[in-house]
Amino acid sequence: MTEHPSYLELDRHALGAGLDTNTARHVANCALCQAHLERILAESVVPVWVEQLAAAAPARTHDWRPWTAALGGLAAAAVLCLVWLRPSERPLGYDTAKGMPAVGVYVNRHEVVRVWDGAALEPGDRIRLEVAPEEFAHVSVFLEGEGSATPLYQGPVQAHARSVLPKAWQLDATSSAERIVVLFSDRTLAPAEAEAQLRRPDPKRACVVRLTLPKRLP
Amino acid sequence: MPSPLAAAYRQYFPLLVQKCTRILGDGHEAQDVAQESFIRLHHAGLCEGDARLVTAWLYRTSTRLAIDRLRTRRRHAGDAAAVDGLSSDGSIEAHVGARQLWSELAQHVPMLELEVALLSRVDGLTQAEVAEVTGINPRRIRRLLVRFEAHAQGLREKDERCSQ
Repeated sequence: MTEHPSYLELDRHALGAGLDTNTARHVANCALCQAHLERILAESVVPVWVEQLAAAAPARTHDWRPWTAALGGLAAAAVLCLVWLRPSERPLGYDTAKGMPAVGVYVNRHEVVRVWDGAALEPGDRIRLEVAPEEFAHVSVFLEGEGSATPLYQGPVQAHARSVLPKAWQLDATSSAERIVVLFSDRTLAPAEAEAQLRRPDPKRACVVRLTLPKRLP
Repeated sequence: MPSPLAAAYRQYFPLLVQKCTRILGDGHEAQDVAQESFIRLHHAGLCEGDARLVTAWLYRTSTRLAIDRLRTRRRHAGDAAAVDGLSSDGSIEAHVGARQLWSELAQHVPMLELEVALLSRVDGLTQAEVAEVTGINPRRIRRLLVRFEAHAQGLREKDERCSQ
């Protein structure tokens, strides 16, 4: 019996590509290869987030402009919540004026992923952030509490592109809302610098986006 | 009629999940990386592209994203004992050992070397296929794989010394 073909060859075969005679004979007689093909060809239900992505996010050649979705007055500080982005006719880098970085939220509830629409979330939901940093090259994420900001993530991001951050966070049942702060900066910031920028961002060097994610507690 | 994106999801997402699971194991991480790869495919405007090109693009992108994920994992106690997992024998223990080993290797091995090694060792790609996916010429791929083996061997020996 011939060796297993690569997974790439099997995947392409599942998508309609032909196999040479020896490989086809192997696959026809190999339980492992057959099982892989069955998994690839299994009917899958298209989740809501894909349809939302299709409706909200045309690919390439389109720019994205943030929606300022809500300005709450619950606390002394303004809570600016940039919920999602929409396409614009202007191509990326249309002009050199600074745009406003934006943050999108994906919510994974019971393995169904959707774009957050501002509705209350539930404990156990897992969230991931997608950022559009404009000209900034670094992003830090904090969980904001009473007078403190706990770092959750920091890393470089590609300017003028959107990136889904690699970390996901699961919501717990300890409070009625999570306050997430996303700090965009031109470089990695030391903790004290980040703290200063969170208090009073210098628009030439940093931008802060605050998200309040309400939770429905049991 | 399904949207082109929904059609692309049906076409490519199952293979992406399988691909990511081979590197990261079952669970949230594989799902997350598969999702991110698919979103990038959409953003790149490639969903309706030629399936051969799209699969190559997805293999390259998801491998790199999975490496990023491996690098953020903390090394668990006991990983050192798992360094024989490179050549998996199909058992659960061997699979788990292999994944722990890749997590360990991701901390030490350069990105390109690891990318080529994962495509070759985990996905079983031939050197010609690795060349097609990565755009690197086959001679360099051979060199990267040799270097990777030296790294893996060094790690094995180090862990053997630690366990004695």
